[in-house]
Amino acid sequence: MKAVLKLVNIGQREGEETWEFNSGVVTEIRGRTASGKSRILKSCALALSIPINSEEIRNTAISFGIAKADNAIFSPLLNYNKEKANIELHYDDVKKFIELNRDGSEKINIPGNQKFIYCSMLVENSKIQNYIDHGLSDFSWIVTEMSLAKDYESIEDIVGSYSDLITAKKEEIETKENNKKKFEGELKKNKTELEEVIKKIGQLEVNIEKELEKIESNTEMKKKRKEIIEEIKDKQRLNSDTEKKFLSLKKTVNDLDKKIKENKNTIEDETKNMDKLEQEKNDYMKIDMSKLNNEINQLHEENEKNFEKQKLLLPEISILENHEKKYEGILRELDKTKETKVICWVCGGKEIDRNDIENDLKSTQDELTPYRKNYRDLETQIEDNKEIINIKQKEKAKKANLPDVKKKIELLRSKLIELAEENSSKEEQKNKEDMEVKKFTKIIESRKKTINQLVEKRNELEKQIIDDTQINKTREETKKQNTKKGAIENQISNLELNIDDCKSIEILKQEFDLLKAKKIVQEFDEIFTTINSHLEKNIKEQREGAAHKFNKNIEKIIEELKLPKFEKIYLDIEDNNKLKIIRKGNPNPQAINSLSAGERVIVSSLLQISAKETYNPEIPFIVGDDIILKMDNERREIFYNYLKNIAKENDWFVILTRVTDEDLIKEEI
Amino acid sequence: MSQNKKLIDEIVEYIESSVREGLDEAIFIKEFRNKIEKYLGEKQQ
Repeated sequence: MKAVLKLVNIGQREGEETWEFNSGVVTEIRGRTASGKSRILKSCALALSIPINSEEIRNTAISFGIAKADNAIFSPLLNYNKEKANIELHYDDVKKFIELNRDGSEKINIPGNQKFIYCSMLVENSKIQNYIDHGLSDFSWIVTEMSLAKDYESIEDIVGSYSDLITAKKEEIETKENNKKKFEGELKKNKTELEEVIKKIGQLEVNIEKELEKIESNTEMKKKRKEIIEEIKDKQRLNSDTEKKFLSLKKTVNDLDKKIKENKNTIEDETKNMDKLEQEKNDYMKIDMSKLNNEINQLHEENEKNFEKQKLLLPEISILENHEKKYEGILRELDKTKETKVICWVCGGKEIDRNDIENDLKSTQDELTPYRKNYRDLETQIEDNKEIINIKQKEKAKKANLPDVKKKIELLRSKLIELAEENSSKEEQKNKEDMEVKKFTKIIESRKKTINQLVEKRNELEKQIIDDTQINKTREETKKQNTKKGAIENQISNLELNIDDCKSIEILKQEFDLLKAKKIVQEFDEIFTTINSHLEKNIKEQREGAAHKFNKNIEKIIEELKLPKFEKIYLDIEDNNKLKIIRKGNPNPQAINSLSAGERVIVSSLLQISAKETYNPEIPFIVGDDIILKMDNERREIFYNYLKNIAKENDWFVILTRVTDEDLIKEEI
Repeated sequence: MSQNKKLIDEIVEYIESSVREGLDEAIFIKEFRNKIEKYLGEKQQ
């Protein structure tokens, strides 16, 4: 069959160009570097693959320069100078048309198959080539991407997101159920607390009423108390005045009493004096003046006689005393000389004997003594008489005082009468004052008693009067309890809202009560589990099927290519679709990174063709861009021959590019 | 349970037809959600 590729403004080439290809053969496009070989392959690939929905394939297509990068304004195939480009590919009865615009938009008439990018493009930087070049063995992606497993996986993700949603809802339901229980518990507790608070507030309000009543009666009692206090003050004031008067009276009484006593003493003393004076007066009255005069005269006479007797005694006494002096003088002289005998210094020549003198003195003194006694007796007599005379003279003088005494007596009597009268008056006054004192005492006592009674009454009232601060305290407490009540009510309201919120749940914008939601979630759990099982089964089957088919094709290719060194190349289904390479003579898998550069190209091309045959056989095109560059001549020949075979066998269009020194040419080989 | 079975069958059938016809994820997501919402709507009744 024939394929016609018509390009307008593609790549560096402006205007229209047409390329024709035959199926069943390998067509080589040759030319120098940048001669426009690749754009022909890329145009072909684009026409056969878009739209590309897979992100991974799209990224690969971008890296190949086929698809427009997200940040690019227009397709990489559109000529820089042109507003639009067209690609038309006609083969068999397929007529593909693509329009690429400067604004980045694309128009396609028939959708292609994105797998073409992975499976039908033999390019140096293909994903298979990259994996091999980097020694990566995990090829599970190819069986997934290239089989329906990828679609099932996508659906699994979609179902999984709903499954996750249901799991989240399940947890939410559980949380809401727990919260509901918790909130209901709290609600019950709060309601009980609220009831208690309401009860307490009620009691407090009753207390306030009672206290208010008390306060009202307080006003009365306080008024009464004030009155009592005033009364007490009045009584105390009155008593104070009365007490002053009482004390004054008491003082007066005391003064009177004192005065009376003083007067009594004076009367007593003066009475005694008067008695004395009376006695004196009587005595004076008894004195006999003539008799006194006679006696005085007699005494004078007697004394005269006594004087005379004394005179008569004096000469004799004088003589005897002279003798006595003389003898005493001699004895003193004798004492001085301590001699018993001396010559008389008076008479001169006469010897004096001490004893004689002493005897003389004694006889003189003996003689003198009666004289002297008489003299002294007379003297005593005279003196006694004189004394008596004096007394009698005094008595005479007293008699002269009699009028004075009488006068004194009269004065005293008057005084005593006065005093007696005064005392009588004072006694009377005192008695009167005493009566007053007693009267005041009674008044004071009575008032004191009244005051005490009033004080007692006041104290009693004060006990009954309630302090106003009590009601303020009660009001404060009521306020506190009301605040608490408000807080609890808020909490209850919030809890009720929370409980309401816990009663239902929203699933995909529809509200369900918790019980129903629980059932639905359970059902969905079962539904998604069943669907997931179906998807997993399909994914597994797809993967295994794809891997098995892939492996079979590899085996066929190895056999057809007659590769001398490789025994087996396959994806190990048991080992997560890892690529295993078994060399001839060594049953152990070969590490991919141990392959030589040429071997890597052969293996990756082999896998690429297998992928094409396995996953993209319905599109009869294989395009290859400079794939033989790294192959030696022998391998190149084997590979070319193989491509020719499969082109012929499948009636495919195999279009390859190769760098040469020629102008751009197309040739079937 | 029969309702579940019905939905499961419906979804499985839809999955298979979507995969068969070349999965368009955007359409599938929309349609899948519709089915779930429809089912929920029936449950709401």
